[in-house]
Amino acid sequence: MKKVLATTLTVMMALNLAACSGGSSAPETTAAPAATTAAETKAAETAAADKEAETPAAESGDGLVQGTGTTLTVYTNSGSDGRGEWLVERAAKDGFDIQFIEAGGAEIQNRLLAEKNAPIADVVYGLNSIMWESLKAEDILIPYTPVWADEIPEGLNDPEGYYHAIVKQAILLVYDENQTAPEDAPKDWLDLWTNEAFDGKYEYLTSLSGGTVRNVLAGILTRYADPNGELGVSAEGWEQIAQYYQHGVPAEEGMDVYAQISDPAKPVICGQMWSSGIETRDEQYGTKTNYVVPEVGVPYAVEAISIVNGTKNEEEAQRFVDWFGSAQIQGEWAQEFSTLPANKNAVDKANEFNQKIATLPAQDIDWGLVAENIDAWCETIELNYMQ
Amino acid sequence: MKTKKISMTPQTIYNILILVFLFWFVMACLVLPNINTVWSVFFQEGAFTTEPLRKLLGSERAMRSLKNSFMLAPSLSLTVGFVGISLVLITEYFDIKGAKILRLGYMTTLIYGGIILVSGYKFIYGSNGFLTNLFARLIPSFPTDWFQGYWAVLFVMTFACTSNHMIFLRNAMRAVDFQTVEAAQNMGAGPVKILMKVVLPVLTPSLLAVTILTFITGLSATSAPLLVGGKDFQTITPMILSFSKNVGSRDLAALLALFLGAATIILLVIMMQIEKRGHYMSVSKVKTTIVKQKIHNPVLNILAHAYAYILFLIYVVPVVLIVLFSFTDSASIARRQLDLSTLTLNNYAAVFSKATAYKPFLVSIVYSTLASLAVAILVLVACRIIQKRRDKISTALEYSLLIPWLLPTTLIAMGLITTYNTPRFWMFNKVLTGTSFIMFLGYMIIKIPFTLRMTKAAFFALDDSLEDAAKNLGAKPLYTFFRVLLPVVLPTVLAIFALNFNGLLGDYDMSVFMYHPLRQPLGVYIKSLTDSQTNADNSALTFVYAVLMMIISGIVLYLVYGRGDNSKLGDNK
Amino acid sequence: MIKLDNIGVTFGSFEALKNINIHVKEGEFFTFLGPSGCGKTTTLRTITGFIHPSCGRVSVRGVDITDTPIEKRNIGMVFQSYALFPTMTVYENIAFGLKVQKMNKDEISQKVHAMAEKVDLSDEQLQKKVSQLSGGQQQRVAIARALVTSPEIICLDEPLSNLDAKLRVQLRNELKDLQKRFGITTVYVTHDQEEALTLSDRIAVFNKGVIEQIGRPDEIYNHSATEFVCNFIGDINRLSPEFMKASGADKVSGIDTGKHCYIRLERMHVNDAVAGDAMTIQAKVQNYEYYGLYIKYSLEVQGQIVKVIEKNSGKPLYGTGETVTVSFNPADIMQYEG
Repeated sequence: MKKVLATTLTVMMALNLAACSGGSSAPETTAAPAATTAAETKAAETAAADKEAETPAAESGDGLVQGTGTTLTVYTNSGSDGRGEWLVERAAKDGFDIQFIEAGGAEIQNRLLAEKNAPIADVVYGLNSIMWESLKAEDILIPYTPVWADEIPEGLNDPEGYYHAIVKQAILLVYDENQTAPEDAPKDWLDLWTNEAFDGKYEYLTSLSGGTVRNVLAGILTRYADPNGELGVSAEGWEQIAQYYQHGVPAEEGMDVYAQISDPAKPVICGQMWSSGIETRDEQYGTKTNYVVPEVGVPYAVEAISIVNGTKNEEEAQRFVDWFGSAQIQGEWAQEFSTLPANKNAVDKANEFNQKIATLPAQDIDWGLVAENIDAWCETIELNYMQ
Repeated sequence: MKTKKISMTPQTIYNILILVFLFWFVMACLVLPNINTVWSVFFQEGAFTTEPLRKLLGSERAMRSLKNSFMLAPSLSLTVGFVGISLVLITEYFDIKGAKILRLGYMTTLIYGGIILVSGYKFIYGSNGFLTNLFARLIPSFPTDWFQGYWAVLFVMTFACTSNHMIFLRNAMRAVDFQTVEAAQNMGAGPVKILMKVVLPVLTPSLLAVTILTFITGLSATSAPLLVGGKDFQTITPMILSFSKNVGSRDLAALLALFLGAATIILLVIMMQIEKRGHYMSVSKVKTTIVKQKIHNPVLNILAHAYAYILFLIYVVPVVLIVLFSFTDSASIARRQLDLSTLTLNNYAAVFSKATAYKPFLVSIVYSTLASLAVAILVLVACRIIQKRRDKISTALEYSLLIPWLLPTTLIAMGLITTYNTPRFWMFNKVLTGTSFIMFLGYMIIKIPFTLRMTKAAFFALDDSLEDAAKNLGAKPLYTFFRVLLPVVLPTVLAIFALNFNGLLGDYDMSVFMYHPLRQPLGVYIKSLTDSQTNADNSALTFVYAVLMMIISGIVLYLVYGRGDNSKLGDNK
Repeated sequence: MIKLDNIGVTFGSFEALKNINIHVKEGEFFTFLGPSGCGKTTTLRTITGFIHPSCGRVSVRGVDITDTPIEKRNIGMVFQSYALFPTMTVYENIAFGLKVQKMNKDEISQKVHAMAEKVDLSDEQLQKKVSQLSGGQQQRVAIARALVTSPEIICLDEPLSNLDAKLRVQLRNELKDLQKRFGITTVYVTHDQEEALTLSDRIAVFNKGVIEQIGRPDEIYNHSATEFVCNFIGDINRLSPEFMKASGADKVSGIDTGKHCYIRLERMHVNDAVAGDAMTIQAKVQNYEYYGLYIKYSLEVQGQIVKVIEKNSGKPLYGTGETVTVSFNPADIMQYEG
């Protein structure tokens, strides 16, 4: 009983770690009943493993969920820039043994699909809703409600409980204030092709497998949803897409959009960018990034975490999910890699830039429609609309 | 009509075992994993469909890209053929001062390629490149985007695709019997006539073989069109790659790849017919090695030297620039501005300061070595059968081994994973997905066709009587193979090994789907470094890794090929 | 020694050899002669075992070896290209057959050196790569390699082809010399009649997969059994019916003008009838080729060109347009059914 209590306490502390960075453990907010139930169930399940868990918990003393040391394989498209290494080290401190596979979102998705009958991954994180929906449809995920599920703002988690949000990423149309005054900048994506001033001045990606570009496309196409239209989109919507590719400049392979924007000699003045990549680019290219906030809002790519169907370490995977999505870890993650945490209790750990991003209005996107059609949309675009 | 023995000697049992093994390999590794992919092109939801075909035919972009690919391939075969022959003549036939240095320069394509190589060219000819800036200063109205489209692609690829010429055609040139040249001179033939009528015909078999490879390279051109093709000259392979990553569009990827594959196979069949007609073999007993030919006409001599050194510059400057730019930052690379004062060791420090940085190198070196070795052995065995049997079985074997040329790498990888993610009879009920073994298998499979093509050429150039002689002296077939035949083809086999190794070292397309969590290969590692999301653009690191890979590739080439160049291996052909 | 009984070889539907019967005697230098594609190499390869005959038997000393594997036959062979192993040294080449027999190293070394000495290869040459040798040296290596295992028979497949004329003659002499020294039964394949005539004890002339004649060089030359043989062996004049009539040869008993009549070049004489030259005819000198040892005249007789070889006796040459008398012995005329 003592052990159960200890674990429950640990979990609760993790749940409620709001503003406290590190040591302080005074619970201030009350945990949601659902989460408590989950925590209790888990505590009972893991009672056997508690012995191992206890020791590191005592050492780190920050009240986080502790791993048992079972090796977990984590797939992610969000492990570059040292994030993977940081994660392995940080998790080890709390008793998790992590090995990860890092690749682009599309590759991770394909790998998971191909390994369906013999899954290697236990946990996947970093993918966006579009990909999650398709994985869910293929029966590759299993539902699990992490202890921190309630700390995520409405609408970001999967209502069916298969995946839960960890990081928010605004998908923005960016320009350099050094080159373009805000008043001369486009006001919406549609401006790019409806306003002659931007003809040949924006970059579009030729590869459609990335998460960002798919969000951009979804942001445009879902505005023209039409159940009778081709692939759920009205003819007008497709006309917009045609215009988008007609008036833009294809991205140059191996060259960052900032290399184009920052160079006065290049005609390109704006292009798509994910919010957390902006600051470092400003530093590197000497740009002063500003972004377009259309009236309809900006698309948010929500990076989430889920457990893979067929994992042999389901309980440890659940512990890891509980740990990784906790406000404490997401807060550290945000500080380390300047992300915008989805966890309400970790948002204040984000830097100033991301705090501002957090206030941008979100575009209302029918993700169901997107998930159902995005592959077909991309195929059609590649075949018929891209130049 | 070789001796036919019905009795079960150990030799026959051994032969049967090998055939059984090859049959298994072809079925389990080449046919089964790919059959679904191909099937899905024509049959969807249980019924025959023309939907993928209809979609492609309806796509102006796909048709244009396909047309461009089919335009590029033959023109590239011509230009690469011309430049490739020039390189061989400059380094091996004519007396050009500094031939050794020139040769090193011309061989730079062996150690780098793809995006990096094209980037190197863009540093010179691109819109902000050195030459472009120079022209723009001289002629104010000079269009700075001149280096774009078909001609630019053709130009870059012409110089990028001469690797095979520098190895295989040069080998053939060294095997030319100089007496035939002297004989022709003696009969009063002029230098041009000798070249055209005496030397080049001897090179024909090798030239045909490398031309096929050039053609295939042209068909599957990726980096050059992406970087310098511009809007008007995009080719089909980037589209195939992109479709093959999109789950719903794999049928299109497979269909497009089949188009290219079919063209390749048709070409190969023609090649095989030409090969069957026989080839020019030196009948001379006392071969003498080529004595470099002096160009007596002083004007021509100067022109030849100028040509040789201009080619040298075209080859070497991009490499030098890549090395230099690896010491700068991403912004400089993007602007193609090289300021010597800003050179820094930071990039290298960043790479080497990570304790884990060496591991991907190790993983890739081990995998590439093993796979290149395995494919060399497999293909040697297969070639032996193809050369000896010349019947339906051997023809079937040969065509089966070319299957990987029919499909893009990504689809082959997916096929392998999906087929062997459950226990299957053909793989002895072992699940391969998720094991360290599957990537080795994948690496091996994608290198089979090229290896087969070149190894076969080496085998067919062998004097049949060598084998007869060994047998006549009492040697058993295995002994004959290992002691007599293999040593003769070894230089070629080693060269192929080196090329395969270098090709696999930085592989991404296959690795990303197959690598084991504990064994991240170099290609994936580099991509993850440079495909950053939160950090800044890391394109400088790409250059650093490119330089490091050049060094490894260079060492491998030197070890297995270069060293023998002037010593004992050189005499063998 | 070697007996070929009714050998036949077919490649697909092509009959490469028909009904070949040969008996090579112990120690004999036996040559297969014929134009390319006549079946001589095929026959040789049935002896060495590279080709299995479709019918017939091959035996050596009465032992049937038709089904014996190549490597067990112990028949030495020298290939047209010599087939020296390019990756090995001269020593390794010669030692190859001994190594295969798993002989111990000392014994191999001793045998190789002994053999090298016999074929005049120095110790220094033994350590060289075969590509560094001259043509003559290469031939000797090839022969040494074939002989070092002490085979009972050695087969040589056009070993002198593709060599320049001078080297050819030199090597021919060396070859004959070696064969005599070793006294080994030799089967030799060539398309060169001069080679065949100078080297052989006996010759089998092949044509289109059959043997036209087997005999000593002089038999083959002087009494060619068939029109093919007489044409193939050496230069010859075919005599037109007009020539026969004008010279009166058609009246000689035993000569049938309905047949094709031939006479060898050296059997006719210009202004120099010898004993037995019963026939004479007038001819006009068209031109001549001066060889030193002899002179070859082209003469016009009855609208046909006849060639005559005249020994160089130091007499003045007959110039173009000069009229001369050609004489010959009708017994030298060879006749064949048309």
